[in-house]
Amino acid sequence: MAAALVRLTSRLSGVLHLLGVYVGIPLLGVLISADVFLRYVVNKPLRWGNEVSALIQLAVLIGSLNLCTEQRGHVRMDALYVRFGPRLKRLADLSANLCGLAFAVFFTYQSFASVVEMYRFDQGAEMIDLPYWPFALFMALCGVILTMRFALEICGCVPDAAGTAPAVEGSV
Amino acid sequence: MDPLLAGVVAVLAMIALTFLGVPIAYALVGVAVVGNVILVGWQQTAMQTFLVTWEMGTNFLLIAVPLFVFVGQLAFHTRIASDLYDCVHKWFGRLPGGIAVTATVASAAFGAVTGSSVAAVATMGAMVMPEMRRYGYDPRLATGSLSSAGTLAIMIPPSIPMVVYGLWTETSVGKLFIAGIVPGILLTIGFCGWIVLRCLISPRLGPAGPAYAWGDRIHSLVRLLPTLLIFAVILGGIYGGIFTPTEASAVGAVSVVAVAACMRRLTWQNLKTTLRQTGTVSAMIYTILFSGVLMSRLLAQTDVTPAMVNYITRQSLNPYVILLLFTIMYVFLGMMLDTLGMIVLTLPFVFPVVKSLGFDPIWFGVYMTLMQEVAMLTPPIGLNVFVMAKIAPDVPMVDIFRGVTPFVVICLVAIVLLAAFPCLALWLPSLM
Repeated sequence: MAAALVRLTSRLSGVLHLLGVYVGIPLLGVLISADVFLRYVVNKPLRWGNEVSALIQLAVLIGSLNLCTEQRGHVRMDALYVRFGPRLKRLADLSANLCGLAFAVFFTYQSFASVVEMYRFDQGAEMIDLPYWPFALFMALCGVILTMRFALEICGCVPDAAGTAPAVEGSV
Repeated sequence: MDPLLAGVVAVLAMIALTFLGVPIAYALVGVAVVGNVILVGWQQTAMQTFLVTWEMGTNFLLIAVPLFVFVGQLAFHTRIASDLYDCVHKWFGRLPGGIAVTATVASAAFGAVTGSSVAAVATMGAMVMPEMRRYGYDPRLATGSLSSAGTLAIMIPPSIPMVVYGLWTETSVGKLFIAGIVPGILLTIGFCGWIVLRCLISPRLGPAGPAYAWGDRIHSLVRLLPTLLIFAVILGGIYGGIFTPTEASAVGAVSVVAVAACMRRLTWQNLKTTLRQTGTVSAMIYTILFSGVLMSRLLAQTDVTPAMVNYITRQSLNPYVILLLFTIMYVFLGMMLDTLGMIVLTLPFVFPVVKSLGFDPIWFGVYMTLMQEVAMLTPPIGLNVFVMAKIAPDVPMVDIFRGVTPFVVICLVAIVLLAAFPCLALWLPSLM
């Protein structure tokens, strides 16, 4: 059961990530460039461009958050960590997962609450008829996966969870 | 619980978790969530958590981060750097330590299309190290110069750490980019000057390369065109007031795709790898940013930040003494922390103090970038040194760290110059 859940969260993280980066990032580049072009050449900027770009960005970032977490892509001060024994490493990983879980639970709860609120009050972009609630729902679903992932890590269901350092290639 | 006491406990808990090896974003967000629950209750905490992630994620300025990461990654995968190197080598290769000088200048130029220091070292190191071996370069000088040259990429615009700083402090990212140009050029000159001087004194450390005919040199300039084009689009647009930095990042992304396609180097594989890496790196930066914002909001509620600013300003110390103390603190932190962690962990405290002392936020952004350059080179965490050690596994890490020492000193001298002559950073932005 736990192994199936780990596989499910991994697969969903991968799908959300790929959806965001293959669709969202090219769309961002094209949309903003087109806005600049239309502003200077045709003198007709996309009035809704900034709002839509910002929402696409939100989807890309939230969509990649799970995979980044799963791949240990977050920066950490590992000067001491790499010298720790297995017990201290487990403590560090447990602390990290508890911190992550605390965030994920609140984030998911409020995202679901916001879906209802945004739908009820018809909240959306100002310059275009684009409701906010689907984005909040997307955040909530990503939050569910994130919460599950942290919970599985805490329960020790994720193999090789301890002692994995983030990849150097992920740094700027 | 007394809010001030809660704030102090939160700061200590955050430091303890960071030292324990908890990812910095988790340490910040975990402490912020628990602190908020204690101070304002769980409903307010949930609301804050959602609002901060939403506000940060829909911040139009933040779009510059994924798109500049994309530009840098694609430039890395499409070998634009090798063209740069070939061209610069024809002009500077004949100097004493010519290959190291070439690598430094080429890294600075590569910095004009990528805001990532690690990408610059990985690209230049893998390309130049074999040639340095062929010419019998001293391993210490070779690895030291290559590791250090990579740091120029975050000073020469576009620079991802500058976007993060600008977002965090609400400072104009466009002005920050422009402010980085003169210090970036000065550092490049300083690094090259040191290499030439060292190789003039001991020519065996870095023999000069072959001389090229003027015709070859002028012909090689054609290979600079792609980089110049991308740089001109990004910086020219910002400096000319045509684009905002976010728009420049989008136009830069489209330009780099177009240039790579024209050069027949754009493959689906390159594009897919670039997009995937862009997503995860951007998500990492986003997490650390919203975590930092949550933490700083907690600190604002607990009055820790104003109390600290008041305490420091009451001491009536000379602002430059405080700056010196910050420099020592950053050198120390840079030994242990990643550069982004260094920004997000310290800015909530340091930035209000700096502002109250009358330092210009743009000048301080350049100072912070310099400190990050130092952090990338200092042991035990020097990230660029680690990347270099992967490229040259036969050179002991200690030798690489010794090799970068003169370049760290040059960075520190640059900080002194920057403090003595703020116009080095502020002159160009003042013309905008």
